[in-house]
Amino acid sequence: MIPSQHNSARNPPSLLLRITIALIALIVLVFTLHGLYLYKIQRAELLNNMHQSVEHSLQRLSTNIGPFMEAYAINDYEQLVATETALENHFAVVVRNRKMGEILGDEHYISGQIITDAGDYTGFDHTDPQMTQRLDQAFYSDTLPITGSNGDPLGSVSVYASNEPLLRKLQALLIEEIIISVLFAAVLTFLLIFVLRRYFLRSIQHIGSALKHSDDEGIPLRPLPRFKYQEVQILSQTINTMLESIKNARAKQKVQQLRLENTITGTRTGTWEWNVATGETIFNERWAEIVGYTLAELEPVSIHTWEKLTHPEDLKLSSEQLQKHFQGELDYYECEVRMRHKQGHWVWVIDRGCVMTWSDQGEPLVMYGTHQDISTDKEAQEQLSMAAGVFKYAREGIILTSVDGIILDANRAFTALTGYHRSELTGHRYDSLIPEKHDQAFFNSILDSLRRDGVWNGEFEMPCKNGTSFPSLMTIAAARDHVGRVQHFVTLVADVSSLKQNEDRLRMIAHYDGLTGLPNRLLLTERLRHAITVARRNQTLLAVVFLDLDGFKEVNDTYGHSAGDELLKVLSDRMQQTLRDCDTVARLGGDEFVILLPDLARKENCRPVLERLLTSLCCPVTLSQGHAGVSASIGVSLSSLDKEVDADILIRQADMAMYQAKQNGKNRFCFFSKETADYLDSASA
Amino acid sequence: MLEARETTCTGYSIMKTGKSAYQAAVVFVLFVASLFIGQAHAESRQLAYLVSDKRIPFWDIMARGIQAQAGELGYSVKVFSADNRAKTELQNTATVLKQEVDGIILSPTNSSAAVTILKLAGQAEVPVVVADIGADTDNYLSYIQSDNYQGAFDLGRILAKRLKNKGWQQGRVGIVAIPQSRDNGKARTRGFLDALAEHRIKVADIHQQSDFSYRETYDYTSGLIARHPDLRAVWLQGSNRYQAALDAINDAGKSDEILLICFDAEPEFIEMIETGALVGAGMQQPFLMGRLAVRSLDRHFQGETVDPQQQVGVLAVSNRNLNTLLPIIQRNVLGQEAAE
Repeated sequence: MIPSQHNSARNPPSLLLRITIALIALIVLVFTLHGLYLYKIQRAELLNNMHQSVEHSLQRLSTNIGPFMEAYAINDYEQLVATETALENHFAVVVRNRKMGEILGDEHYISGQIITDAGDYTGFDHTDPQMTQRLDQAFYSDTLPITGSNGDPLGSVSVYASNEPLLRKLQALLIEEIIISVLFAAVLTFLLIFVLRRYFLRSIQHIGSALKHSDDEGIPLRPLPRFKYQEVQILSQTINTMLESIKNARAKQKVQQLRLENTITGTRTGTWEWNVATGETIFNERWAEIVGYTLAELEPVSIHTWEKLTHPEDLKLSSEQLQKHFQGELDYYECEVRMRHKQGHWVWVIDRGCVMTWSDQGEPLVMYGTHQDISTDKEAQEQLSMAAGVFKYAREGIILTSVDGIILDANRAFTALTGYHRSELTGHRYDSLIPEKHDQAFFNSILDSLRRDGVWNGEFEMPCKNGTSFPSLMTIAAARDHVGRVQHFVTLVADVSSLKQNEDRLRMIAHYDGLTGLPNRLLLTERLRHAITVARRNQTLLAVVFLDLDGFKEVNDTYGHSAGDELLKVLSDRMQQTLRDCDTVARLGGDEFVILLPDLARKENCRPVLERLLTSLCCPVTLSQGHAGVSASIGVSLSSLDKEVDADILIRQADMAMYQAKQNGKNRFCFFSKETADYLDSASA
Repeated sequence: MLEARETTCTGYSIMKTGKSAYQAAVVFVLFVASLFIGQAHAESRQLAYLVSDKRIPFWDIMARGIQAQAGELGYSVKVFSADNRAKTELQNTATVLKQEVDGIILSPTNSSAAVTILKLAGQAEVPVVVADIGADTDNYLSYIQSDNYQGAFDLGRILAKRLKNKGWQQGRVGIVAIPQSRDNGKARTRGFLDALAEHRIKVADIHQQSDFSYRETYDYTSGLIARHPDLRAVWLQGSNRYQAALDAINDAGKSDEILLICFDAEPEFIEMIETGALVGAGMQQPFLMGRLAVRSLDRHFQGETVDPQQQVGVLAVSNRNLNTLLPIIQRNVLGQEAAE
């Protein structure tokens, strides 16, 4: 198209020349037709005039000659004939005079005028064969009789007309018409061209000059000027409006084209244009890039390029889809195919297209389409498929939730663990499952962990539909897209009920006394340290009570160890019942117990508790084998408000105070003091 | 009315110039000699004279002149008078052509009729000499006519001299003319006016005759006398109504104050010129014209060149030359020699 425009611009025909030629041709045609019409009219008129002239001459001559014939004034009527012949330009006039003929002994005396070859007139001599023969060449003739005043026939007069004058007149007329036509045509052409140039072509030239300055695409750069005449003004305004519209449309088209290109580039879409009839195909660079080539490397490209690179199995599928599209069964052609990459591997491509041009017979002509590399999607699909298998068949419960906490899906294991049906979960908020016992801090810690680490692990008491719950080991992981945005959360719930039970049992074994169920020394130490820390932080006193039963050995000896064990269980319950909830009682072994009394404002505040302990422990106990009565010796040590005290020291100090209470008569309590320590040192020495 | 002509055998050039009698005698001798020479050639020749009306003296005198000359040259001649009828004239023409005459002398009824006659003669290859009247064509052997201009010019001179003699040169001259459509009328008027202009004599009105009646001439003359008190002469271009002019002058009581002069001649003019009733007259010479016509044919027969236009002098006669010209007048104008 551009070359043709170039060619047409190189030798553009002149509008003025065309119009001039057309005008001249038209005017010549009109004047020729007019001339022919006039020629025909004039010819008919001339013929009519000739006939009329002959008729009139005959009438005049027949009327005027009669008296001369009667008077034998031969020359007079011959003069008349000569005058009439010359005036009317007749070919010949011949008079037959019967009376004169009688005089001369002939039937008629024949005289007249006849035109010569030179155009002159001469007397007619009927005895001259040449004249007689010439008379026969007349174009038209007529005769009238001549009668005398009394009606007697005197003779006749014949008028002959030649076509030569007619031809001469017609020739002259033709020449005149041609000259007039040429002159008029020239003048008219000149005037028309002048008018056209002045009022029409000049405006067009101005328009052309204004339009000449155009951009690379041929769109004029400047608007047309204002013109004087209304019609051109309308044209100018219309063109300007069109130019403005074109510019706007171009700008819009450019934007759209840019968007399209950006879309194609941004979506990394390969494009193709296929002439179905010829096989000619046009690809963009991305099309080749998808399969690892440059477009230049694939040249020459055709539909065979596509066929060569496409997996044979997929080619068959593609062909079937194409045929369905060609036959109207599919509005669009779409097919996922594998194409051989330059490096040898297969690239998954989704091939889409549509026939945009059809022949009159309904045959596809031109088809446009795109290629999208969906290899990554395919891989993702495979991974997703695997994940779906995991999701479906895992023993752990899995919940998918949206960023907003809406449950998207839950697997079969989860519904089995919780008793919820899948439909009761999906669409509901995740926290609706959370027991109210969990405070907001718990959730915040989860969210902080998810935001920070993308994952949260922890134990969680998973509620069930029936109101129960089970301990679970929960893992919440944020699933992110390729740019790191959280798409959804995956919650993995593992039922750790059995593990938890084992753990509790082990913890009991490790921290509690097997007979009484009271904390053992290990747990006591932990709690004592914790209590020391809390007492110091709170500026309160912690009392460590070391208790040893008085007379327990006798019970063992009397009723046996089982009775002793039974006694220890009863006394343990009594101590727990006597103490506050915040207090701790632990069995160190045998008949030794340590009691922690935290949160004491003063030393004396522990005395009531100590007294209640002495009282409850000295009350007799009914055993399965008999009654038994024991008492308790209690030593008490107190933590310091000023400095950190080691737990073992506090226990030893309490032990030392208990010893002093033993020494002091049993069934009593004794506070550790400096004197106690000194006393014990001396006693041991 | 009678146009009696007397002709004398003399050349018109001699009459026109008025040369000496010696010269006339020489010419006459030569002419007679030529007659004897040509007679031998004309023995078998037959001529015809087609005349419009032989009853008119002028034509009769001309016929006599023709016959006289034909006889002298040995030609037989027949005279055919048309009695002023065109049909008769054509019949005469047809007759003479059938008779295969050798030559025709034609004095046609009119110049137009002459054309047809000349045409028929031409078709029969018969030479024709037209004598007076003329023809509206020129296919004749020769046309013989009076020299009207010269005659009128001479008459003008005669009148001028008479007016001067009477001391009336300051007076005016009235003209009663024949139709000026005729060539002879034009020539007469032009010649007369040239003579008057030569003598610086003024002209009064010119009246043109149409019906040639007495009353017409009388009225024209009376009108001239009435309108021009200084009128001293009246010139009639024709001779036949001279009496009307005289009567008008007399009736005006100016017979002693106004002169009359005429063209053409009447027999009584000789006496009137002698008595002074008429100042003068321009006299044509029909007898001489007839003779000249025959001689022209004869020269043609002899193979000689004939002048196609021949003019015969008009005799300007006054009382001063009347006696001198009287023999010529009697022969050539009045044809009295032939009649005798």
